[in-house]
Amino acid sequence: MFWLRLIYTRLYGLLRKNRIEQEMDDEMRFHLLMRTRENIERGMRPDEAEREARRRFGNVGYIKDLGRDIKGGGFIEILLRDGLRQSLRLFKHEKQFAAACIVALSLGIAASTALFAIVYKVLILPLPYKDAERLVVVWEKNIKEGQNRQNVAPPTFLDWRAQQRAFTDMAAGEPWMTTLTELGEPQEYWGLSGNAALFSLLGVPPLLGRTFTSSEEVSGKDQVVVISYDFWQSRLGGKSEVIGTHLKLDGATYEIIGVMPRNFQFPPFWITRTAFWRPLVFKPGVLSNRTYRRPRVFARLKPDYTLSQAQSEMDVVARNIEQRFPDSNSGWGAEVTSFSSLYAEEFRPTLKILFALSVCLLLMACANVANLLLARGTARQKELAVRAALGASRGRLIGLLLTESLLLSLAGSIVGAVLASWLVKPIVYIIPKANPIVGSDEIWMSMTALMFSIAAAVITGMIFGMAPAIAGSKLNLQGILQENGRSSAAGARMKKYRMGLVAAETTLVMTLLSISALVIHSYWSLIKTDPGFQTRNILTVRLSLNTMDYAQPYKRYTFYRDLFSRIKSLPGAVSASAVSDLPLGGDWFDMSFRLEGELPDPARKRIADIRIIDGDYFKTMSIPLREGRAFTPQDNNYMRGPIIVNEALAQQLWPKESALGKRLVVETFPNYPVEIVGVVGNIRDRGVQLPPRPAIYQPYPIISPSQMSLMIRTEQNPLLLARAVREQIWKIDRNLALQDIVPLETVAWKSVAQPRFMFLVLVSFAGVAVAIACHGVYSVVTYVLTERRQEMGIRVALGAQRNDILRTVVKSEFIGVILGLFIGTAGSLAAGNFLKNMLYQVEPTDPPAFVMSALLVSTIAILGAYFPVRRVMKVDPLSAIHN
Amino acid sequence: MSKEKNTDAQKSEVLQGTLDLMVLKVLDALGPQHGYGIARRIEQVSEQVLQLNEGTVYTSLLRLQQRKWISAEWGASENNRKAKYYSITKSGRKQLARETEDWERIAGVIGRLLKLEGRG
Repeated sequence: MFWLRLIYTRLYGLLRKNRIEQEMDDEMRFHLLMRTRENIERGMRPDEAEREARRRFGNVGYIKDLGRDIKGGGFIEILLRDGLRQSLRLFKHEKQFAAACIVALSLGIAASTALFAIVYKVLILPLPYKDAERLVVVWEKNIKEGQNRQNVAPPTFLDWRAQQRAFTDMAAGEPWMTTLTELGEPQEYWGLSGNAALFSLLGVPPLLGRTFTSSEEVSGKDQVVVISYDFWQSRLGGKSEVIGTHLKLDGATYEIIGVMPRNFQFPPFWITRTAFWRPLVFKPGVLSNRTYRRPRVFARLKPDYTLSQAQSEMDVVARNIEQRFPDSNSGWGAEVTSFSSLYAEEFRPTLKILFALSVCLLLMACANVANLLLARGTARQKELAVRAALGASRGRLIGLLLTESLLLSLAGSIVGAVLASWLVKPIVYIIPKANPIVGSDEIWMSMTALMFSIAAAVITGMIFGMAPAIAGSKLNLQGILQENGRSSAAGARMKKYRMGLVAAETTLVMTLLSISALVIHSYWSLIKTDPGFQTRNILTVRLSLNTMDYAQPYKRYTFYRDLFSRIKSLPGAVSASAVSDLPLGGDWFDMSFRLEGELPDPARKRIADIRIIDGDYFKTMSIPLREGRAFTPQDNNYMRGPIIVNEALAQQLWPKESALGKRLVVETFPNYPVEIVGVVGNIRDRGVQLPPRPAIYQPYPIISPSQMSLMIRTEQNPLLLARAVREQIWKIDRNLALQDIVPLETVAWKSVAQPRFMFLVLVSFAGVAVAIACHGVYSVVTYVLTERRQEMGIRVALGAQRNDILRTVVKSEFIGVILGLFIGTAGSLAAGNFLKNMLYQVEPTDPPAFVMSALLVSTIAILGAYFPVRRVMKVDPLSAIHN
Repeated sequence: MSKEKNTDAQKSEVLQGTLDLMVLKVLDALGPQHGYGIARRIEQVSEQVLQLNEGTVYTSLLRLQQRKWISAEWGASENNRKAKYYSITKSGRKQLARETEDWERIAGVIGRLLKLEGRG
């Protein structure tokens, strides 16, 4: 009852007040009417009369506000009614000021909201499986040998599955690279061979058809496949009668038994964009081989098990196996990691950095607006003083000022949200490695992101509104009510706050700029690094001979031999060759080796990169031959043959003598020592930023690997030769899928995608920061100078030198800037330490970076102040005074 | 809603109070008036020296109403329009007397001070 009555009285009070407002309106209207009539009687025209009457009366809205101040009101009424009304009046009369604030805010809010939308989808939202937090990967690990997170050998997996108690089930999966033929051009796809239990583990039912059963995990029954939604849509046209039809994969016929739903992806890491899932069959040879670590094991925690409990459980199981099979499993344990920690592992730190940067931008925008508000606060003090005198409590004044700030920030958030929705797609598009996991069409401005931007607006509104509100409401009335309030104590305090804000903003800009400069310098060094081989005018073609036709080494050898001679005689091919791993392509292979006669020593393993090449490789790639010779067609013995090493290996083993003639044993062929017949220059084919490692080159006939990349040097644009190359390949085998016919320059370009991404992002952020800073300096100085126009006009008229005025007005701003420069430099030196991993050949204290940034910041400050000052200087003193 | 506990406000009363004082005086002298009439009278008497924004008279009237020194009533104006008429109350008259006394005292002191200076 009490509450009802309270509500009733409040409502009545509200209504009553409205009546009082109505009365005030009537009264004022009467007054104006009377004055107008008198004016008309005195001879003025009616419209003039009315205008004069209004002018004499003063600002009606303001008077009414004062009236409301006297009457007071509840908190809500203040905010809603009075605050809203006044703030809207503010927007109407001070459009430029409001626009300046909204622009600054929307930039900051746009950046942070866009980043938040991405972060939310990638880091916070759960994976598309049932109870995804309970899904784990179980690895084999051998700490002594430095083998972390290794895949699991099949017999070990089966033992685990039988003996463990921590998981509801375990399932294994193996990568499956397959060529699809008889459906247009042959094309390669990634797939996963997995246990049937995998699907029940994930808890996602198929969209159409069914998933396979464990009875199909048998050779002969295993030629069934479940396809992905994307594959179904893009290659099969999304037809509903797809179940029961067939696909030719790796030359074998598979029946389609099911289609997975949209947005289903498995695994979310390791093999991405899988198109097919088929039953996993362990071949008999593999079932007893405890060193064949190809499958990866997935499991689901039982409801009452935690991750650490599961880890302890698996430790026990692994130790058990260790004891039973000491030859193969000594030192091998198990490691349990959750899906969520693995997912997005690669770009999680990048995202965090991006988010932190965007918050920086938002803070800068807040500082801008706070500065503007404080500058305006100085001018408003007279008005505030009058209201306080009329009886407005300090709380009420704070409430009014806060409402203004909140309205500004809400307006900023609306504009910012719109901007953000345009930003999201481009940002995701350029995050490297993100695309396989998160399609750019899957991230958009969700309601959550919108809520975030509104929350950000409210919080920032409180932040930047609070300081001016509190500062503004502490009033020294006597001082203020004098004509020019600039000598008042409150004015001086405001000046100090403003200097602090300028310092804060400068700090942020300086930090952003210097970090950007470091990264830019680093990226620049990176792309200028010579990889040791030629990248221009070389066409690359990835060949995969992984179908059953090429199971035998001899078949592969003849294929390569025929193909290479055809390609080499193509018109337009200056030189042609092949290599097992495409340089800068992201794949590489290494192996341990030892000197002839040396005993294998696990403590001191020698490792070298192994590359299988065609003899013309060094010629095609312009890699210098330092000693000896290249491979000739005579070096074509199966499992035997000479080797060529690079300088790094030669230096490491024989620093004082020539490596020619020496013999090594490579672990792939532990019984065949091989002789070094040549030494070549070092190349950086694993990555431009990685130092060259010892490398061993072997001629392709010795094993004819199932994957090689053609490297064809041309005179002009390499792509011009693409069609001819494709024709030649298909003349030999029409069913070969040809992936990636791209120039080597493109491959090199992609290999620095991550550093380039950081470079682009930081440049953009720095650009936005500079824009915000410029805007900030410009707006504040303009505002302050506009307020002071009258004073300056007087001073100039009295003979003051314009330079003096410049100096006084701008001095306080510049002290803030210099402060900010120092703090900013200190801050970025500290931050630089965290960036050390990302920087290539650049120290975190790189002087040019900091000097350039400091110069840029100073220029911003000077330019931002220059234009308003120059404009004011041109002002005619007389008109300034009269204004 | 009285702010007498706030010394800042008290100080301002001295300043704002000048207008309040004039309003009380006008009402005392002329009897019940509406806002427009009061504003006109003040301008007349001060012989156009006091050019105030007429709107501030209304804030003064509100203040005086809150203090209960004047009372208000809706009535009809000379040309039969609806207007709000104010009249001074008994406590208003007492306040007026008090403030007039203060003013005259201050004026006297200043006058004597000035005469003092003149002699030296």
